[in-house]
Formats: sequence, structure tokens, C-alpha cells
Amino acid sequence: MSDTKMSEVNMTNKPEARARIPIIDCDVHPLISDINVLAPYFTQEWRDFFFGSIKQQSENGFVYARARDRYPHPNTTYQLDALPPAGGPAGSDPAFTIEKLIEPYGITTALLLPQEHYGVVRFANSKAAAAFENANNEYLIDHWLGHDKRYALAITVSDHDPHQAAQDIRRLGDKPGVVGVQVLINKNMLGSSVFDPIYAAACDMDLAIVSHQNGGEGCYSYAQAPAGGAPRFYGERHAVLPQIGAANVLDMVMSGTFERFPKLRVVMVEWGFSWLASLLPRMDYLWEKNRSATPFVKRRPSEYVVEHFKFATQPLDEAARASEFQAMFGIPDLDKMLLFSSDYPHYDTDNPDVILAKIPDSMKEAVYWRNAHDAFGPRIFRQ
Amino acid sequence: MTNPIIDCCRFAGVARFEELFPYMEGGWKYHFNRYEWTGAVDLASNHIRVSDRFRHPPVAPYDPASAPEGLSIVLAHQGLAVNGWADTVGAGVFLDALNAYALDQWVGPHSKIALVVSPHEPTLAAEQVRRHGANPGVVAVSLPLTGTLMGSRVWDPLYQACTDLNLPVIIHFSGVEGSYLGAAPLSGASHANPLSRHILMPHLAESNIASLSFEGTFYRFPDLQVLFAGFGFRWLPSLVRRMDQEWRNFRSDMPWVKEKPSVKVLSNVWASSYPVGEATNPAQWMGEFSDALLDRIVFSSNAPFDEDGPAQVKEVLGDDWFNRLVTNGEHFMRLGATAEA
Repeated sequence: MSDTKMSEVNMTNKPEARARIPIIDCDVHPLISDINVLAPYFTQEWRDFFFGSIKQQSENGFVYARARDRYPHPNTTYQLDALPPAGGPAGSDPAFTIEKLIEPYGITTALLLPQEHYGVVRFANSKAAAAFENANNEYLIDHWLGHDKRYALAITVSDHDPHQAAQDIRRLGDKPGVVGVQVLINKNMLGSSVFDPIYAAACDMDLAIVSHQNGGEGCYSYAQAPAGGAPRFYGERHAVLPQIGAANVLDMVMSGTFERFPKLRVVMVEWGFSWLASLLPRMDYLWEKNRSATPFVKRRPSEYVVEHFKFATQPLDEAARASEFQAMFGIPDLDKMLLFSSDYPHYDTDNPDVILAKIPDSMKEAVYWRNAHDAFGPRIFRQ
Repeated sequence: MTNPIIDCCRFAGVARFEELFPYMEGGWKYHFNRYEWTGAVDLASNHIRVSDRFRHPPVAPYDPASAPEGLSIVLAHQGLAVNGWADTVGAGVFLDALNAYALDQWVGPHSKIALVVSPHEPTLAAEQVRRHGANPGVVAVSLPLTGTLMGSRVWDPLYQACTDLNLPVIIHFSGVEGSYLGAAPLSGASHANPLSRHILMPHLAESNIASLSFEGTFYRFPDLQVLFAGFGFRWLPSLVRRMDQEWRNFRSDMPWVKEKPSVKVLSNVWASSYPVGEATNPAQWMGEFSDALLDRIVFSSNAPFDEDGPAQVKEVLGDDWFNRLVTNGEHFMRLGATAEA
């Protein structure tokens, strides 16, 4: 896929002022404007289940998996200027996201990673999880992918019922604009064979797996957590959250996931990437000393990572010195793994102009679009 | 190489737990004298517990006279594993006996011990430090890691005792983290194999440095020095950048953290060279480290297990780097301990 020529990419809608390089933003969050918009996507039985009142006041219970009475955000989780003038939460108006993000920065494709789904990790009922995931996926296909061809979507599934999830991937996976499968991390590490039906369906449908922190990490009894114990508050927790992404990368390699699914591509979003500098040599060095610990790993672990994983830029580390910045981008083979993300409309959105300007020239094409194209295939460009 | 070597973390253990019985008071030796426990010495001797293999080699006796000129800081690795014990009271008794044995057997002109203290009872840990901390054979304190992060105020009595006696804290994993209930968990969930756990151990250092930083521990104990030994060190720049960014974003939420966290990392936190094999090709990654951050890395051999000798460190990092590690080790001891380096 990486041999697609730039000239083959339709560049309409790109501002003239910007260099003629496509930009794929791999982390844009669409929200639903109101939970009631999902009503048509449920059966009556599930409408009763989800919309029936138990006389508790809660207006926004699904938006995050993070328990807000456990790790309350110090401010707001979104940029104030991302609130649509017509009302609704930040990120809930596809036209306004075009106006605020896509047009001004010349984004060619915005990969939509829905976040209401993240609340599903708290669900105990696998049927309810599937019903909610499907309703939200179908709504986004209709109202966001249908709104503009600059949107692409990773439909979202969880491990509540992997066989059901696989069915849903096969049912929705060939809809125009669907390019990936966002898999929610819950109690199982991504290398677990529990996920095999999901990975098999994704490979069959030629869809990349996407992993994004869901907010439930470190919150619930059976959720994954950072090492060492419970951080005390939001900023501390956020500082160590990338560990969970790193642990799942390692788990997929050590569990032989890519020996079972040689075509599988995985995009790690908002987990950071600079920790690869220490993780990759460590996994190789210790594996060389203890190869028989895992019969599933046939070659150096870092080779699986380079071949199968991509990592999104946001939040980009702020280096204090030029030498630090150069070394950060000097991780071997990073040019094959790094792709751009803004995390719009969240509070820590990385401004595309600022971040893209920082990318070293030798990596610009790879980070702007080529690595995303490698992961998601030509369908990432819908026009 | 002109200066004597300071090895900031090597290990020693007992070959048979029965050797500890003379150091137990009252009827405790009868409590421990059962095959279920004494027979588990091989488990505890698998010092990083990262193998599922059926057999582990016995611990070779440690002779303090074998310590090279300079200073070797000896950790009783079997003591670290109490972080996975369910009997939190028995753990304190075991550590008392093990520390007494270590002071008897492992101290020499160039060999001093790190006292291993109970992670289950912070007041007992402080008491253990005050009881032995003035002994010239004790140059550091080692705290096994439980699920309570190091920045928690429950550890304040321990840190008060350490700073009163001018002893640095040395943290090393026991190997049961992420495996035994009660020991510190590792990142993620259940791991694919022991090798995975071993690879992920540096996250424990990261989380505890974040906890110490964001809880303001070093403002309460400005003289406290904490060395994370055996975790490597290449993860430091990424962690420090991330912590500083979180502080910049949310500093109003943590008014007790008065400066960006990296400031206290550079004055109160240390890391060690082992395993140096993951730090090859320094020209490629060295730029990530500021000079000040490089000054926080000391030499540790990890002997007698998978051992980095000075020759191996020099081969990977070069002579100048090795000399710098030794100089850093001198600073570490001067800042935090009473021993004559």
C-alpha cells in the first residue's frame, strides 16, 4: 500500500496555501448531540432498556468510561471553542468540525474514533454492549460518514462477546468510509486469544485495529491499570497512562498474535510513542536472554512492532533541547510507525499546524499520510 | 578507571531459610519451621521470579571479602519478596532475622547492606530503620513495592527515619509484582508470560517516580534520595517530559507541586545502569538526556545473577561513561548515606 503515489491522491478541498501533502488526522472524536438521536437505532426492547428511567438524574452518563467521581478532570475535557454554536457537546456537529478543524488545517481525512462507546467498558451485559455499540456505529455511519467524504470511521467493538463483535465487523466493515475497528481495552490484554474472532474478522475485511485509551483504565475493579497502584489524581494518572498501551503492544507480540494473524495492523492512538525508545531495545535484549519463555515469538520482538504497529503523535512530547528532539525522533524505524493525530476537540488537542511543522523533513510524508495509508489502505482516501 | 567502584545494587541470599532461625526471637522459628516455607527457598532465590521453569539454581554464598575495592551495596533479594506475602506480620519477623543475618554475614570493608524493611507496616519499617540505621554496616534502606505508591503519606514515617539517619532508599522489584496479590501490580492486566512481566518492570519505577513527584514527597523530605535499581534508565527522558507536561497543563490542580517535576527528579531521584545491554548504541539515544539527567545514573552490577560487570558496562557505554557512573555513585552516597565510599 505504501507505494501509492501522491499524485494518485485526490487533493480537492485542500487549501492552496498548504504544501501538496495529504494530511490524515488519526484521532478526531465525534460525539452524539443527544442520547435520543440513537433511539431509532435500537429495537423497542433496547429502547426500553436504555431510555427507561430509574428516576436518577444523569445527563451524560455514557460519554466517558472514566469515573468522574474518581479522577475528575481539573477543567473541561474539551476545547471551549469546539462547542458548536447551534448547541450540543464539543465534537457533536460534523459541519462545525469541518469548519474548525478540517478546513482551516487542510485535513484530507479525519479518522473518527467515537467515544460514547468508551462507556461500554462498564457494561456487565454483553448483549447490551453489542446493542449500544451497533446503534452508535450505525448512527455515525449515517450522520458523519454520510455528511462528508473527508470523514473515515473506526467502528467500535468490545470483548464482551467477541463472536458477536466479529459478526458486527463483517456486517458493517464494507460500508464506505469504514476503515478500522476500534477495540476497547477492558479486562483482557490485546494479545489474549479472546480477541481472535475480532482479529480474524478485521483481517478478512482488511480493516486495521485501533486502540485508544477509553478512560476506564485504573477506574474499575476489572479494568486495566497503570503499574504500581492507584494514582491519586487526574494529572498523575495521565502521566502514567501510556504504560497500558505499551503493555498491550508487548502482550500482542509475546502472545504470538502476529504469528496467528500475519496481516493484522494495529494503530495505537493517544498512548504516546516516545516510550518505544526504551521498550523496543529492552524487549529484544531480555528476549535474547530468555527465548524459551515464549514459544510464540519467532524473531526479535521489535520486528513485530515495526511491522504491525503504528503510533499516533498526540500528545507530542515537548523536548527541552534540539538534541533531545532529534533523539526522540531517532527511534529506529520510527519513520515506519508514526502517524499524525490531533485529538480534536479535546482539551489537549495538538494544533495540526504546530505539530506538523515540527515533524522532521525526512519523516513528513510518512507522518502526514503514508503510514496511515499503510495501516488503513487506500480507502482512507474516499474521494 | 581511577576511582574505586561503587556498586549500588548487588544481591545476596541464604541457601537455607533454617540459617535464619537463630535470629528469630520467641517461638517464631517454630512458626517458620515447616517444609511449606523452608522448602520455598528456591522460589525466593529466583530473585526476579521471571521464570516458570521447574528448577532454580541455589544461591551461592556471598563472601564480603570478595567485594572489589570501593563499595558494594548488598540487597537481601529474598527479603524483597515479602511484598507478595499474605502474612504481613510474619514478613516483619522474617525481615528482622534476615537483616540481622546480613549484618552478621555480609558486611566487610567494602561491603555494606541495604536494610530491607517491611512494606506492610510503615511504622514498623521506620522502627527497623531507627533500630539499625546507625550501624556502620547499613548504608541504605530498601522498600519492597506493594500496591501503595511511594508518594502516599503512609510512607512518611519511613522517609522521616531515612532522612533522620541520612540513608537513601533503594527500590528493586522482587519479581512477584504483577503476579502475587498484594504486591505492586504491573501495567495492563494478566501478562502473557514471566518474560513480559520482566520487560514491564520499569513501569513500576515510572509510576513511583510520578507518585513521589505529584504527591510532593520531596517537598516534605527535601533530603530524601531514592534510587530505582535494576530498572534500566532509558525510560527516564520520556517520563520526565510527560510529567512536566502534565504539571504545565494542571499545575493549578496541584499547588503543592511548586516546580515542574523534573526539578525534583534531578535532585532526589536516581536510576542505575543494569541492564546495560538494553542501552547499546548510545550515540543514537544519548541526545535525549540532559547532562543533569545523566548525572543521576549510577552503576549497579545485579551480581550474582545476570551480571553486568564493569567490563560489560564499558563495552556498551565506553570508559568515560563508566567513570561518570562511578562519580555519580560517589555523589549518591555522599548525598544520602553515612558510609565511607
